[in-house]
Amino acid sequence: MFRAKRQNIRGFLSGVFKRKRLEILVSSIIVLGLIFGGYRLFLSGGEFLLRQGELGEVFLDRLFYLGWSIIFYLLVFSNLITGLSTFYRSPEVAFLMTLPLDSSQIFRVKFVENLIYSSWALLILGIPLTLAYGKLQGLSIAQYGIVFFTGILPFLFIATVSACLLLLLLVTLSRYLRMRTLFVLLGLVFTALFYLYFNVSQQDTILGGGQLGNFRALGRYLANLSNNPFPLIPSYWLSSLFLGSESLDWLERLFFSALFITTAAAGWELVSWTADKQYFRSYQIMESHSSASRKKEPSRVFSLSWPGLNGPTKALVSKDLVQFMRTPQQWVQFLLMSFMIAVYLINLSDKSVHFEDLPAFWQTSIYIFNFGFMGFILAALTARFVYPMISMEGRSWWILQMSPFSMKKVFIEKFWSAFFVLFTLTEIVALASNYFLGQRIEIAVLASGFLLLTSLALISLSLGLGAVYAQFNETNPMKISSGYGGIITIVLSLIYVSLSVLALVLVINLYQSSGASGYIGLIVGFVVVLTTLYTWLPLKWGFQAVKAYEP
Amino acid sequence: MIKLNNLSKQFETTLAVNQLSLEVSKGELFSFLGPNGAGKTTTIKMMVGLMTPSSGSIEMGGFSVKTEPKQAKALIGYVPDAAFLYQHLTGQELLMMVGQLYSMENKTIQQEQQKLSERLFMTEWLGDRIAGYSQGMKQRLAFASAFLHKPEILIIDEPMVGLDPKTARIIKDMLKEQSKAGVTVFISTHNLHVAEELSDRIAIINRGKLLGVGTVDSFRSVSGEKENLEERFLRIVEEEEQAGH
Repeated sequence: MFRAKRQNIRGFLSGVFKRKRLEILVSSIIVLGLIFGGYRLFLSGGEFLLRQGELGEVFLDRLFYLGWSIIFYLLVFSNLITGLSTFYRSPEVAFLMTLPLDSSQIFRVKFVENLIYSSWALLILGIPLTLAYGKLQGLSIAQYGIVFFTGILPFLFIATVSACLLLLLLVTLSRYLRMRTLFVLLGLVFTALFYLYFNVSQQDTILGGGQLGNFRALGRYLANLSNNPFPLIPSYWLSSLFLGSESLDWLERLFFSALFITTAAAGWELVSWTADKQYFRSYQIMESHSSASRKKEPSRVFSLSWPGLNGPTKALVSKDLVQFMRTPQQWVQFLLMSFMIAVYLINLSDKSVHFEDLPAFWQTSIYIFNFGFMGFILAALTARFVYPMISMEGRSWWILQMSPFSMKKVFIEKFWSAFFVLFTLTEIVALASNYFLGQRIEIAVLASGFLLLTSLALISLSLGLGAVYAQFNETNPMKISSGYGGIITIVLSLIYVSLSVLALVLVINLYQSSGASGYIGLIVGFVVVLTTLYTWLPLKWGFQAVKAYEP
Repeated sequence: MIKLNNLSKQFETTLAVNQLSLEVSKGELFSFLGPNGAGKTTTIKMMVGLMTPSSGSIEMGGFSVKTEPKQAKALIGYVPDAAFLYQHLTGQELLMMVGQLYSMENKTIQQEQQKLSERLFMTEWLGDRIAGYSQGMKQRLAFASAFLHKPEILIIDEPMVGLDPKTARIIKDMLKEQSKAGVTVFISTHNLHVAEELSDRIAIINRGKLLGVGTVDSFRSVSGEKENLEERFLRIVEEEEQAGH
């Protein structure tokens, strides 16, 4: 099976290289540019924080730990959602199950496939962060190698193992409860655990409580973001492995490497054993769901009256909504991302934090971090949900192509649907977080304005490139968004967010130092021009691609 | 009603349709015959606006598919050879969506849906998700969605694929009724019995080239002696292939 997969991939790659050499060259330059640019950006940011003394060092360490914690969380859930298709819904599995193969062999092949599909995009995006942080910690080349092979790779592996175990459990339980209910329960359990973990076990120790006076608020803010590093999760081990020789001796490094390797090995044994017992059974349960799903369901969305929408637009919106709600890979991930945002907001709302007590520099840093977080969320949401929108029409695209309206209408409908949902969501999060942070009204308005431009740019970029790189034969949205075009999209989105954050930093600095308003105008003008390019060009290319598409 | 003028389609090194010219009148039931890979589906996809011709022009009901696509498409009902339909919708929802795409009122859609689901025996399963449908059920639903907005031109690629004999009979009757009611019906098929049974006129195409157009009788008795359509069809295609080599 592995050999067949390898041949399949080789054939696909040689075909792609023959047909799209120039495209691949340009895209590779963009990806390498992002890795290098991101590395320089993180490095400069880190060096800047380290110059702020002990507090900056703590801030940097916590951000890094927080980064890996978020990546671990995203990895587990992306593995879980991709796993639904990879292990159960793929026609290939249905075919393989008819062959004289042991179901655990099929599981192993699909495990590797799932690991690669869910991890490679995050791995590429994590390169600049890890390189920069390693450099700041003074890691040698050999230590980088150790971190990569005995840290990052087992980290990805453990995330896949955890997700597979969870998936096997959920599918088995789906005999008693609907998958939809199980995923909602899972999300609620995670939110409750996060909440309890952040609020009940809160220990304000990192900055020594009252000793640092009004820095206590910063400590609480950082602690609320990531809590005190929890030693039982892989994010902690990985953060520890990244420490330089001054903070971590070789014996401790060996300990964390061994911890990773043994946990990964034990995880593999456990998941193999569980799959041996449960995979085929759970596959049968999923199959019985597919047959049972042919019961009648009342459809109301299409009959609803949508104010301001005419027939075709109403049909397109209703169809997108119904399809979204009936594709677990879509709504489950949206739900989980919403839970993650909710946890962030709940923690910001902690009444014991007094941000106004902080020195202006740290207040501004937190505002900027918050804005960057909003940008990151928006980039993740657009790349994950807007990018696959055109591809998700699948082979039914012909129905729209031969309907009596221009394909521009389809494009416009998708743009505004995405804009309405995502802009509203991020704006609510921005307003709430600004309120909790006690941000001044003029800065809150400025940040909201930047967020509006960011929404326009990122939604257009994802929609446009999603059409350029449309995969009408792929039904799994996770696979679509982690494809080559998806990576280009997330890379360009992150470049835009970084530039916006930089512009916001400059504008706030100039504003606070009563700097020349001419410079502020120039910076805002630059962001407007950048947004126009990000909005107009991808939509134009996407529309041309859609118009030229022949089924 | 349908006018193809010097229509060609080139795919990289392959000329799929070569200088094809045809006219089909209002109310006519026209069959487009040819072996596999002859260029039938490519021609149909250009007629309904799914593909752009490399050269030549297409008019549907007097509207150019290239310059007035909205008006042209509003007249057409299309059933592809393999109907890919939105898997997560129910049949009912799909029909509602298609009706709304053609700007029909919800009430009218529901009335038409009712009639079509009774006629095509879909009532029992129309509320189920399409993902669970068999090929034949999907094909019936595709027919219903093509008939729904009462098109003036029906274009059907391989009409009998996946249909059981009972449904095939119903579809044939419906096509005849539509034709009698003034709807132009253009079907592409390699099933000669279907063409023979239904068509007012037929055209034969091979390797993108039109080999002949006429009534079934005119094809059968071209050399003064009566042949059956199958023999005649095979001879025409063979002669063309020999001439081509």
